[in-house]
Amino acid sequence: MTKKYTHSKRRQRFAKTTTPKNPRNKLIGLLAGFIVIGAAFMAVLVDLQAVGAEEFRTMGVSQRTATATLEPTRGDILDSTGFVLAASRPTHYLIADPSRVESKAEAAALLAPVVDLSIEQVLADLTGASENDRYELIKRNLNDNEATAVKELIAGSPRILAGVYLEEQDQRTYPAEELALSIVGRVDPDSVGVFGVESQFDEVMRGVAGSAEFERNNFGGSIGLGASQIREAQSGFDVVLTIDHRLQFTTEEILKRHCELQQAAGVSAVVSEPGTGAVLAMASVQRNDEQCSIARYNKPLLDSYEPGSVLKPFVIAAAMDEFSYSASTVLNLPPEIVVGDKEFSDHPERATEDFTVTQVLAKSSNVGTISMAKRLGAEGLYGSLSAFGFGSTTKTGLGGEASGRLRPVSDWYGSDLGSISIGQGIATSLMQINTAYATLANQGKRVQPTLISHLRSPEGADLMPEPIEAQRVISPATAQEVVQGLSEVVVSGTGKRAAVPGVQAAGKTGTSWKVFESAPGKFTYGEAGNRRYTTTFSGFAPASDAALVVSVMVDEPITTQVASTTAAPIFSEIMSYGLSLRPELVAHDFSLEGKVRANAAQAPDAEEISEPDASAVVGQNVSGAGGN
Amino acid sequence: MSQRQDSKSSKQRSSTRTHRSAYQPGLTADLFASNTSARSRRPLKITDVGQMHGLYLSLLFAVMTAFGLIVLLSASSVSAHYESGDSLQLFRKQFVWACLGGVAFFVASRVDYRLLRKFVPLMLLSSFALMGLVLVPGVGVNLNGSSRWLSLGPVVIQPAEIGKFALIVFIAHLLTLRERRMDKPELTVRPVMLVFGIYAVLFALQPKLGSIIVLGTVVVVLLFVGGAQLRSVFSWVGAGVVAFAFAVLTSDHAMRRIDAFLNPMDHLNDIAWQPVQSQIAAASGGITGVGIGAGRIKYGFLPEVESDFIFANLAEETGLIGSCAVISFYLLIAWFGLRAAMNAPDRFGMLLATGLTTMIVTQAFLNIGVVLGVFPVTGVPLPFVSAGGSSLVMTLVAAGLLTNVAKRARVA
Repeated sequence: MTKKYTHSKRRQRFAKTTTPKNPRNKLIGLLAGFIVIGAAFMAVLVDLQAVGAEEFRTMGVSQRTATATLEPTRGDILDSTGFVLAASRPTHYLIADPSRVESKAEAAALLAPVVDLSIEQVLADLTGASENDRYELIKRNLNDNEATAVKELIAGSPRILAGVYLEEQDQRTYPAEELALSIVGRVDPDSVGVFGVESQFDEVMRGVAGSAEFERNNFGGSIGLGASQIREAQSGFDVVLTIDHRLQFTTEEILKRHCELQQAAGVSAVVSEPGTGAVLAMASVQRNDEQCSIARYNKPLLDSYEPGSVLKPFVIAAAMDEFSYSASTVLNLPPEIVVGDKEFSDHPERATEDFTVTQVLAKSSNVGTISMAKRLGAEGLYGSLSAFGFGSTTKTGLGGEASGRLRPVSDWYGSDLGSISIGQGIATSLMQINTAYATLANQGKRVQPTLISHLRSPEGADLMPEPIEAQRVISPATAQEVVQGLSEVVVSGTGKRAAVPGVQAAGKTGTSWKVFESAPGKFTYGEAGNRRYTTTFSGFAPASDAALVVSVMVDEPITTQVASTTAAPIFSEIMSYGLSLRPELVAHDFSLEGKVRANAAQAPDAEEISEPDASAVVGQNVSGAGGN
Repeated sequence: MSQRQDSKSSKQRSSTRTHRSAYQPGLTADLFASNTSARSRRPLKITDVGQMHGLYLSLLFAVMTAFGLIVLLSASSVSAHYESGDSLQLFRKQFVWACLGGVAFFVASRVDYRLLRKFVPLMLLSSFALMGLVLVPGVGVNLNGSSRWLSLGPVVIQPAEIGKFALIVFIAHLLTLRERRMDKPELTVRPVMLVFGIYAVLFALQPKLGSIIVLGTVVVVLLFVGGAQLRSVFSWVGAGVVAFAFAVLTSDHAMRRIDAFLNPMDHLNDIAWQPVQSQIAAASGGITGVGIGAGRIKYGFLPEVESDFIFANLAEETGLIGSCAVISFYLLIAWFGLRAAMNAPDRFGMLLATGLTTMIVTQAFLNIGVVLGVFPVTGVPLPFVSAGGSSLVMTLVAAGLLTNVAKRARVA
């Protein structure tokens, strides 16, 4: 019994240790579970990839669509002979995406020596301005060696230099360096014109940027097999100047030499073609730190000053036209003439004399000129000076031009009629003087002067400007008579030093006191002994059928201070060279050759200097006479 | 006669019993016994049906591995190019690993799988050691805030992958040994849960929460299939979930992921970036896909597109058709794997096949669920496809063993 009990107890215990049931059903259940989950995923996928795909797909498209600006090529600036004054050439910029550069110090140490920068500078760029900074310019305009070295570096250590790359950008270059600097102008580092033609024609030359829509990757590049839509950039137009680089260069060299020679503060010159109005050279040299160098400031165009006697031919021309004087008309001139409250006399002092109109010019007689101006009257004088272009801009094509200052008659007082007729109390730019002389040289017809010949489209088509009809200012006969007088100035008058070998030149000197700031806020002509002068010579050659008009202005010459010895020789040099370039334009006029040579050898006569009424200073400084 | 037989059997039984009462307090003594049972020495025959199922499974695995290599080549080429200048760098590594894995598969599918039982303690202890080493600063390789790797010269291995495998073998072995004690949770559920607990702690420290979920699932499935007392299993699962929730709540790493999962639009630029990008990729693929190689998401938009998020690239390039096909492949693995388990010649084989199949399929589904935005980001690789040598080799070892068990199917 006990045994049985024990046995049954054992049985009970063994009954407890059961073998687990066959797991088949559990495994089937497990499989069913997997199938349910798999099916659920497929349902999610159907929703995600087929039914409701649009939203996420659009997100994807927008996050990888990038638009790049395709920079247009900026147009060139050329001279009339096709010589390139400004051009754009491709260069490399070194760029970093700081968010992708991981070991910045290592990358900086690699890059810095190659691009000639300090490690600190490069490191600063690689660090970036903020965490989201994705574009830092490390260096502009790498030269070819640097670009190659950087490319090799990147290829050699792609991991360290991940995020560093080269970007192609156009760099503006000026092959002729400072040639025609003030006309051509310059661009800022972002290729935006700052002054000169570069600024004036910025929009035209810049062209139209294109764009490229492409699929970008998230490493800062594009997806090669991605779609792209490209709208090509349109290159800018070329600007063709009327400048002749040879004449421009020589003119600049001559000006520099004379600036040094005469210890002047500056020398400016304009050379133009009377028949077409084309400006062939326009230069300004300024003294800077004891050295004369080509100025950025286009003084002949932008600055006005009191011209002095160079203005006389226009008064005389107007009088001749009005009163039918001829070159040989004789005027009986007293020693002095009174206008308003001022007495004007000639230099040197003389008794009452008979002057032909030609002599008035040749000897630069104040009394003769003023007597003619008085006959013209204030309105007449104002009208004829306006007709020659004084008081208004010449519209050569560059902005900021000075209109000078020709006050309306209602503002004239006292001796103004006299002063203005001899070039005082009036301010003109050298360009205005040049254009007025071109009018005389062009038989009294005023041709619109221009610096810009035409624009050239990227395809090579030339866009010519609308021609502006020439305006008659004086009759051809009068012009011829005046030219005769101006020739005499060179042959026997104050302009002997302006003589051009082999050709008869015609022109006029002008020397004037310059208004300067003697003390802060105090403008003055100075006292005897500390005067400052502006000397001008403007003329043309050959006198009979002018090929070139040259106007020269010397600012504060020191060695000698009159136009006959300062501006006139410069005129001669520029004209000689200019004519040598254009033999076809020079009508042979060697009749006066011997005489000219003889005259050129003579010592210059003492020359008159315009002495303006000191009381007029207050009015003068406003006219901006002189430059600094 | 019958009496004698009875007494004989009772004697046998009583000797078994005394044996049991001897090791009962120790709990692990039987695990270390080298001679596990007489039955295990009997060779397991390779049957015709098994041969066929083994072939199916081998084919499935071969196709998955080859397809995985192609997808990996496509997914990794762009980032490899940008990082090393060599588009094939990652693919080449993976290819070498796949070859090694192929050898491992071959061996694992041929050797009698019961041999594994002899190495259970060794496997378990060495995987603890390796996973411990990973956490030692200077020894373990730390990437993106996770210490999951060990560097052995040129190769970097992930001990967790080996560890997962060891745990499955251990559980299968233990539940086989204690087949008749399944009603005693202290002999079955408890030791399994304790070992799993060590794993969980080691994984949590890496951190590698995804693997905890996968292994947890495997453990529960094995206990369930092995016939453990469900009440006990559920109470452990309850405790585990509480512990897991605690671990998640106290881990910034995990909490940020949970938050990103719940409010993806608030984390578009940081932690929700990957799931959102994955969905963009899948949606861009449409029904037919953009074509293998032509995907865009791999161009730097989706970090780890070659590893944890490779399914996104696959979905983009092969579309709904491809992604559903891949899911179907995992379901086929589940089908044949669990069938191998049903027809396994012994309990160990049944549990081993169940555990390995569950591991592969759970991991695949967890990975896919993350990519689809259904689960928070957990960071488990897609078996056969994701970059990573340890994962690929161990998956192929598991696949080999699965084939091994399948081949030895009892004729059903």
